[in-house]
Amino acid sequence: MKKRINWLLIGMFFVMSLLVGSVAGTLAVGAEEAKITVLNPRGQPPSVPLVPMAVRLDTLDGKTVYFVDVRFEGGKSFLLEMKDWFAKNMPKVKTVFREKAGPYMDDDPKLWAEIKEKGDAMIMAIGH
Amino acid sequence: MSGVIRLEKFGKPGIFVVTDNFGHDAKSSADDNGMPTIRIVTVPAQEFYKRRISREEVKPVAVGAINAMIDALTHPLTQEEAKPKPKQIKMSRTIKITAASYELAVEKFNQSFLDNHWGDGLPLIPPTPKRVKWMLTGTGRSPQEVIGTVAPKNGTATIEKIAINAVMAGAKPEYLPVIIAAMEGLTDKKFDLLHVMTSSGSFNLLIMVNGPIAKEINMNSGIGFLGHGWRANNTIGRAVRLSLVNLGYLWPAENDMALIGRPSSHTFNTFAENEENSPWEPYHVSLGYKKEDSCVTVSTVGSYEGGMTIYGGGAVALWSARSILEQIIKDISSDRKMFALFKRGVANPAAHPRKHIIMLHPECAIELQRLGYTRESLQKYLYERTSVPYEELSPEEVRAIQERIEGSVAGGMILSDIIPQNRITVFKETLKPGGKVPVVISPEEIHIIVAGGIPGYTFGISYIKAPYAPTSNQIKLIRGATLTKAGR
Repeated sequence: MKKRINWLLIGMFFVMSLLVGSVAGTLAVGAEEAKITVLNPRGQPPSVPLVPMAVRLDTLDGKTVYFVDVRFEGGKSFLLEMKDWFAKNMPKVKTVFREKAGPYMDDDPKLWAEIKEKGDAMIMAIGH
Repeated sequence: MSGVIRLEKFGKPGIFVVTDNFGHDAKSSADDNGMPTIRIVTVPAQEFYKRRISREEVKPVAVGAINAMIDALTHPLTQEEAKPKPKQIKMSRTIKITAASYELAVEKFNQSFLDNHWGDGLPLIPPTPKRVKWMLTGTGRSPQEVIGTVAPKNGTATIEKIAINAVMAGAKPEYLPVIIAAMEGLTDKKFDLLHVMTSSGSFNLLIMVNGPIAKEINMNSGIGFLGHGWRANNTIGRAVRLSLVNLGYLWPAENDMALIGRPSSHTFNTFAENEENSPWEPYHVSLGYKKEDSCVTVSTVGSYEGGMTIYGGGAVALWSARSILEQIIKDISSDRKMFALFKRGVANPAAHPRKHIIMLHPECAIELQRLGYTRESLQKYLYERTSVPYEELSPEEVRAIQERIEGSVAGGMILSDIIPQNRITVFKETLKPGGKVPVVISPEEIHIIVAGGIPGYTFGISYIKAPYAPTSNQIKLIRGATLTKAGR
């Protein structure tokens, strides 16, 4: 009798497990049942070769820093005030002010050549 | 930015300074120029713009940035700065979205696309492979055909990519050839797409369709032509907008710096010229196309500055064609930007001469034609009537024109300020007693278009000369259409 009851209990347990599993499975399917596949609307941008940055200066003392105005309104005043500050507070830093030739989108190879030859660093402002 | 990068290449450390609200834009530019880790120092926009009026005012902003400058020039490079890793933009062809129901999946798709900046803020139609294939039935051109690259990030525009964005916009396949032609105009190297899409000036686009295709696809050219309610007008414009977002990688306040956005930003100003009620040849025919051709014109226009100026018409007030002409003349000739003293090489919108688009309502055009005007003679008439007698110019204005002529010959001028070489002699010859100095570069810079219904308004819309590329107006032939008789 006891053996029969045990088998009955095992059988009921087995059936119950199947039922629970089935319901859980149904729920799992129901929880994520809709799928949309869409095409990517983005255009492939070109790969851009990377340029490593220049090593930083250990100190600005004794160095020549160029202040370059990119020629949006207000940039010149901003840079000249900065230049004045250096003259008063860090007189060992030589500062040179330049306005970039041409409009803001144009290159200025002459200026870059000058800074390459005579300068140690550049601050360009204000790009907006 | 590129100057700083050049010097970094020479082994000289550099810093690029921008206001904080342009920081993302600067970073984006650094990415595009191959130095994503460039040291950018920002200053508070809230302080700089109001204080830059004088050195004394701007001093605290300048001094406030000094420590950051010194640090940026002297703090040793990080590993990432010394050896930047190339960014691999992996583009999967498909994107899968799953949810508990179709409706939830569509909602999830919309939210995901907006979060990624792939939408425009309005609900999108999911571009499933089936729907894109359906969209592509509108053209006989290959889906892999490359139309061009789209500024600012120069993503490649293929026919398929345009079709994907057209699906998202809710367009129909018969509109696709029109959308493609618009994108061909915008990606033309001569067209300055960069300025209109990224400038803080908040400029806008006019997208105009000419030829028989306009009627075939039911475009509105009558009452309400710039408004809502016409699927063709609205979804063609929207498809272009989404294509620019997704192929150019544009996003407001990141690299689309239109400070106050644009009216009709989702659809641009997309319409068809009212050829049926126009007394003249269609706009595209006046430029050398055949009447049976269908074309799209894309043109940069102002949104707010240079936005619409109503010259007359309407259903309420009385008007006449002559009174409207006088209003146009008064408006254009009051724009004395041609005579503004400018600093050579400095961007100053107050000194950039303009192109004008005059949108005549049909009744006005018919009346002008009855008075003897053709489109061409009207352009010439307006050009001449708006020119200013030499005697009326101040000495400063004369000097400004001379400076503009000299700079146009010598170089160092922003494109927006230049008088083209073939117009230099014309301007030189007017700088004497009895001469009349034009305020517009040439008669062709006054575009005459007939649009709207009866009653309607005549209005003007203008734009400066483009600064980054030669033109802000492009017309392209519609071709490859399969579902319409026109545009094949």
